[in-house]
This record gives sequence, C-alpha cells and structure tokens, in this order.
Amino acid sequence: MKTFKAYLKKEIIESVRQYKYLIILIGVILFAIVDPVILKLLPEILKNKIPGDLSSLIQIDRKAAVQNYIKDLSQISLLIVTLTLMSTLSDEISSQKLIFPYSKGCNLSAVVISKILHHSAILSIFVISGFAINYYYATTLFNKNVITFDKILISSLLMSLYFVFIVTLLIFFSSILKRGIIAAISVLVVHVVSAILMNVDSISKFIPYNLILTANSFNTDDIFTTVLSVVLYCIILSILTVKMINKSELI
Amino acid sequence: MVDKLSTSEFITLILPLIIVQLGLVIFSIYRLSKDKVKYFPKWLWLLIILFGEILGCLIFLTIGRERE
Repeated sequence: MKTFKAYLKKEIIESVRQYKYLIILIGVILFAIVDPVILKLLPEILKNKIPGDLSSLIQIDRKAAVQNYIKDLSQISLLIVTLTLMSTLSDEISSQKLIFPYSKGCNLSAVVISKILHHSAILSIFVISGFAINYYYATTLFNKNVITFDKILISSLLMSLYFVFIVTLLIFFSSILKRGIIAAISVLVVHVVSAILMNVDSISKFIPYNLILTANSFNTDDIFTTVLSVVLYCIILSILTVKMINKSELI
Repeated sequence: MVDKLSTSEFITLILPLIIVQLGLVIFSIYRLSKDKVKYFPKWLWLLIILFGEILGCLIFLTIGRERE
C-alpha cells in the first residue's frame, strides 16, 4: 500500500511537470466546444460555396452535435491520449528508473496498478466533463432532436470505460515493448482492427469497440455483455502487465 | 433552447475557445523558448504552433519537447 501511495503521488507530480493533464484536458474537452459550434456554422459556411437549401441534406440537431463529439473523441482525442501516455512504463524500464524502488523491496505490482488507476481516473473525469460541456453547448445551440441527460451520462460512462481499456492496453504494450511509439502504434492498430471486427456479428458483443457504437447510438439495451467483457479484458491485461514487469530485466 | 443566436450570445459561447487557443499558443511559445526540442528545429516548431492552432500546440507539447 505504501508503494501504491508513493507511486500515485509520483504519477501526479510527473503528469503536472510534463503537462500531461493539460494536453489530455484540451485534447478531450476541445471538441466538446468545437463540434457544436462548427455544426451550427456549417450551413452558413456551405451556403457561400454551394447554392440552395442544405438543411435537408445535413442533420443538424442536438443528437448530431453529441454524435460528432463521440466520433472525434474516438479518433483525434484517442490519438492525443495514446501519444501522451505512450511511454508511461517503457520509459521507466529503459531509463532504469525502477531499479531503486525494486532494490528497496517495493512491490512492482503496486507500481503498475497505481499507473493504471491514476490515468483511468483522470481520463474518466475528463471524458464525463467533456460530455457535460458538449451537452450544454448542444442544448444552447440547437433545439431539434432532444436527448435526455441520463442518456448522455450513460454514453459518457461507456466512452470512459473504452478509454480505461485503452490505458490498460497501452500500459500492457508499454511493458513488453521498449519504445513508447511502438506501444502507441500497437494500441491504434488494435483500435482499428476491433472497429473492422465489428462487422462480424457473432463476436461483435465481445469487442470493446462496441462501447463506442453503443454510446453513439444511445441505445444501451444490449450492452451488458460488452461491458463485462471489457472489464474482464482490463483485469486480464493488468495481471499480464504485472507478470511482464516482474519478468523483465530491470538492469 | 434557441435556434437563432445574436452575435453577442455567439461570441459568449465561443469565448472559452478563443481563451484556450490564445492561452495555449502563448504557453507553447514560452515552453518552446525554454525547452530542448526534438524531431524539428525550433523555427519549424514555432510555425507549427502558430499555424497549427490548438492541434499544432498539442503536437508540440506531446512529442516535440525533450523529456527532462
């Protein structure tokens, strides 16, 4: 528990020093403001380029504003988060920072768990805040296609869970790969492959990407299997990361 | 709630975005002057920050700085 607390504190200090909070905060919340504003201005922008009434062609309402945010969150924000956190563990292994805590008898499992919990908690807070801001902008700028806040809240929780999965996966890859950028690319490959695998109906329920699609459709009737699967994947990945870090040569 | 917004209401809505944009550009230029950089020379990073807007700043802060 002492190691856990110490490393949690260290992660917070390091994240402040390297501006990780600032980068992730802007990367996640920026689109919550930009998307509804751009969507509101889109007909005006297009009017100058294409003549005629475009309102029937483009869906511009509250739901579209939130869906646009979810799309950006799963693409650009995900890329920013992955690049920011890519060298969380690999840096410490390659620069031999773990030798001192290890030689003093610290539990390396606590190091891994503190990293996963810290980044997961921060990302969840930012994602939920982003959804709340996006909802405020969507309700202020548009009046068609009303969505209730509880649906937004459920969507934000599903997206948060997806980001928790991404963090766990990133830390796992970071423990087995020496370079952070390769870990980040591997995570992005898994993200793209899981999006492609969603076309296979028999396994789609067990694929984490289903969380994004469900959050986007606001229909959470059949999500329990996916949530349970993703929680299981996170637990399995955390256990594997702990095993890998215990096996790895620290010196 | 409203379909048509007045100019002042619209400016109030996008004000946070303008503040974030300006603040981030100033902060990134300050860090650029203090930190060691990698991948590109400083003048190119300056152009990325100035013309890449918020994304340019985020790219610089994420991958452009040499870690301490």
